[in-house]
Amino acid sequence: MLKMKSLSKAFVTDAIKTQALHPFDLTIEQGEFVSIIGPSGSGKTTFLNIAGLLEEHSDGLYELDEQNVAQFTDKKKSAYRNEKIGFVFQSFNLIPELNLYDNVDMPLRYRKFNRDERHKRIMQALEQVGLAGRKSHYPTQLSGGQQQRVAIARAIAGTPSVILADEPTGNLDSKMAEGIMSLLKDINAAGTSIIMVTHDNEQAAQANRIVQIKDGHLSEYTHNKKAIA
Amino acid sequence: MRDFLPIVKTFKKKKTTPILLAFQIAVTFMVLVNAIYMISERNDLIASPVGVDIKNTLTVITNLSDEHGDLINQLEDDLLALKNIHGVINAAPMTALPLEGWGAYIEFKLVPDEEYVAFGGYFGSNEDVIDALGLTLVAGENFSPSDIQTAERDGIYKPAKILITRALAEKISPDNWRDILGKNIYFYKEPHEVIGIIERLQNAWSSWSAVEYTVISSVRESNHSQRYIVRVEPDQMDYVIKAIPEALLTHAYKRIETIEPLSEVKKRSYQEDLATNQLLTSVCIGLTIITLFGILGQAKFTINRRIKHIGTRRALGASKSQVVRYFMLENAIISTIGVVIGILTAIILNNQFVELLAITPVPLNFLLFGAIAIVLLGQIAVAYPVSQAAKVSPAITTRGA
Amino acid sequence: MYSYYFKLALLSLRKTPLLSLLMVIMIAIGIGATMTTYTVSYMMSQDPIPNKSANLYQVQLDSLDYEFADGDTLPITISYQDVQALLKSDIPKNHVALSAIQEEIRHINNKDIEPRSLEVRSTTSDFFNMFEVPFLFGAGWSEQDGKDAAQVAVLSKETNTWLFNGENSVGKTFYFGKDTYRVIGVLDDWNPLPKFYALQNEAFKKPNGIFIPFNTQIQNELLTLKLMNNYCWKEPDDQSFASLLVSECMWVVFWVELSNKKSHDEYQTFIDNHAKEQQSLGRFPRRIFNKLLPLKQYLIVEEIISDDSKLAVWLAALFLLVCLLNCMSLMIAKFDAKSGEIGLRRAVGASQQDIVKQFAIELSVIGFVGGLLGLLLAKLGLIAAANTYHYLHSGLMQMNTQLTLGTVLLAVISSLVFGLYPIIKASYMQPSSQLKSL
Repeated sequence: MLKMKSLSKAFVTDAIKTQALHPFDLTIEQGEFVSIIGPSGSGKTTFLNIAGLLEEHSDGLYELDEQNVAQFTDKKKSAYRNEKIGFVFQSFNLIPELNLYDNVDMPLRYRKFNRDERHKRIMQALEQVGLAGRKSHYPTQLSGGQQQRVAIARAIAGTPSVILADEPTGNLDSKMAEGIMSLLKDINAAGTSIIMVTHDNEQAAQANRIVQIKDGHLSEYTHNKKAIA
Repeated sequence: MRDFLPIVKTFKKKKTTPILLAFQIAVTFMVLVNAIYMISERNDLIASPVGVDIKNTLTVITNLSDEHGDLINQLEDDLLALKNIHGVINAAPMTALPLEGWGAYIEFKLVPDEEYVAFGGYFGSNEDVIDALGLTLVAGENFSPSDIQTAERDGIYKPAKILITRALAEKISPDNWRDILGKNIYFYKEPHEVIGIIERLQNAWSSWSAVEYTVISSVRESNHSQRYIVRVEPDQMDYVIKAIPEALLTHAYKRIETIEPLSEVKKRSYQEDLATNQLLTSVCIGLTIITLFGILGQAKFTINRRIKHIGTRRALGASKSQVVRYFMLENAIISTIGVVIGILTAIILNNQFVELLAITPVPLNFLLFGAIAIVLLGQIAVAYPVSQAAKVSPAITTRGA
Repeated sequence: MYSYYFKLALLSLRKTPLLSLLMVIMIAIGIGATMTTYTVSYMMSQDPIPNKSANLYQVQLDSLDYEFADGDTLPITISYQDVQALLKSDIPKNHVALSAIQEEIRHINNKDIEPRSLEVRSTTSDFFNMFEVPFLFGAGWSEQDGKDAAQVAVLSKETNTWLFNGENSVGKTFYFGKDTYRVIGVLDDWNPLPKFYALQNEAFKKPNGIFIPFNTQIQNELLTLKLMNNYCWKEPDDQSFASLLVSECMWVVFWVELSNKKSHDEYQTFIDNHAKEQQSLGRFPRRIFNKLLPLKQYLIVEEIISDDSKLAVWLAALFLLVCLLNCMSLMIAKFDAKSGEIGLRRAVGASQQDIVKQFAIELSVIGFVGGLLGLLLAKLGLIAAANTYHYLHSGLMQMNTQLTLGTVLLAVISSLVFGLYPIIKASYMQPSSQLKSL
């Protein structure tokens, strides 16, 4: 479902060209759980942003559901992000002045759902992350772990085919992190692909594929997960 | 000054806000300079002397009644009564009042049936007029009682001796204004001999280009609605105003229309200018406040955005005063750019503006003074947020991402 | 969807109350100032009698022996001799001669009512019909009354309130100077703006308080030079009133109502013929040049709208510009602070268009609130203006419905126009740049 071929990314500022990602090939199938590891500044987030259509790649081919994204208009990209992709961020990125219900509602608002359909999806997502009972609370009233659960509910409410998670446990203690990881695994088990950037090798090992990025170079561990762990 | 280049470099990156501010300052500058200039111009106009002892002169408008017999007798009775009031220096009849906004307008000719050489305003009065208005005779002589003629209404058509203002004399004989003495000026085809020149007397219309070109003719009129001019001794104004009704209201048909100081007449004639000045002043005040807000807001906004940047500078050893100087300089640069745009636009648009709004172009010293004022204004406005910013602890750089 | 954006807008206003308040105040002050001055200027240039203005003409005759002013400008008044001749025509639907006098008005026996010296409009019987003057009681005088120089008067509502306590005073008498006049009608509120029918300098002055037949003025030889635009280019034989009437002095304003092109042309021929006839008698020495000046053109030619009021509008517009520029900086600051939210919304699938819509609605809300507040300020400003311009007609300082709606609309539109750049800038923001460090 996600196919990258000789994809690369370079930033050009003030006549200095920085190669953020060197050309690489990568294919991810529906239902896979892929971890991206690597030191900070190595290009993990850039990779995720390109995968999530938030940034454009410089060269090469990127196909999402067999569609070449280079030809997408902003509108089409937005629609793809909305329908096919769910984002989970390290810092949760909930909107503080909206309650949980409205936060989860946000992506659904950009789709032509009627009120009932939205309600059904929001409640389903909130139930799945175990926070349905607190739908009228505001993000600041929740713990970090709970906030991240809301963010995950927001990501899955639109039933995307892939969730892009950028260090989803980076701001959480290990106990909360565990809960988030198992939640992600449950979601993956239900058929949604997950691409997760992480620092934590232990977490990375829970995925069925691991991709390492170092200085903009991608390399894949297809077997022997323990070697990294 | 070594901050100059770094500041200009930041403008390149974040240009919108400084551009907006500069533009705002440009417009403010243009409006303020124009408005203040217009205010001062109007103030000059309002302050221009009428030529009379305005502080101690009052006017009376009263009726001369057909029911009460001869109008001339009534006129003389009135004048006598007025002169007899304690504190009155002199009183004279007038066909109209200076700056009253109503009166006779005439074209002056040196030869009848030829082109006119000037135009101006007309008053008819008697030999007391100089004393009653407190005029200054600069050449020639006053009317003698025997010069005075009487008309019921249109004294303007009678040949008579006249006094003219120096401004009119200079207009008619620019080489030597005294030359006009003893000569005849024609209006309505009748000759009028100039026997005296007075320093100054404004006629009926304050905004008229010929307001200083005035003729006083030795023809008094007995109008049904009669005007008198009364000069009083210093500080006797209130007393005389109170005493006049009793002195004049001697029979059942007598009415007094108005008694008021001439200064009130003058004020009324400039009421439009005064109102416009009021309006312009409020625009200036409002604009200054808004622009101060703008500068303040912009300073706060840029400082908030660069709070870390300030911290870094502080951490790297910049003193508080250096931080303050940085932002003050930044504001000064923006203000200067704004003012320069303002001046350029003013110069480019000046002609169109002048034509469109019928205003006179602003003189250069106003522009310069305005420019300095605006830059200073900016410095004042930016001082508070900047002094706050200087308090930023250098530790901010090391705290959290 | 729009209700959602509306909800978001309200939330956003609540989130940054100070910034939003500042924007609202900026817009309100700018709009308030602009609309205050614009109202005065707009009301000055209103069509004073929209149903009829196309059919009303001022008659101007060139009976002078030299050029009056540059080009074809003529005095707005004509001589009494010509008035008499013109009044004989039956071509116009209506025609009126106008002058004014000042006279002392007293109650017939109630000494408690202080006499007042009022400006009296003297005119002919068609006046009330021609200018659609509304009556509260009674009616105008008949043509016969006019011819007979009857001592009758029509009072304004205000005068009637003062003199007769607002009662139906038709048939009652009062002192008009030394004479007794009978009330024949009382007007309802009638304040055409500009007061087009009278002299130029009266255009925005307070309405007349009392009306009498033109012939009554003539018969009683009433004159108030101060209220006349008496253009005496050739002196009368002597100073008597009779001489004034047969003189070349031009002091009567004359209006006609001509309903169609045909009567217009006929009337033009009529006045030209009158001039030719007079020419054969030695008058109209210079040329046959007579004008039927349409009302609207008259208002332009006579520069009824003062430069000061135009100037004020310009200044206020620049003032608004400064306010809006200021507001634009605030908008940029506001959207800058929201870049995190924008990034997030873009990430979850909002297109650039969605962002534009969301913020456009937010700015519309701010503009709308600013407009309402600006409307309030404008009304206060107009009260202040009425104070400053106390000598002008108070109708100038009142907003009509169009202006009221226009004020709010102007606020919304100008905030959107000036918000366009900040909004587009916000919508073009690279979403990924904001997601890491929220």
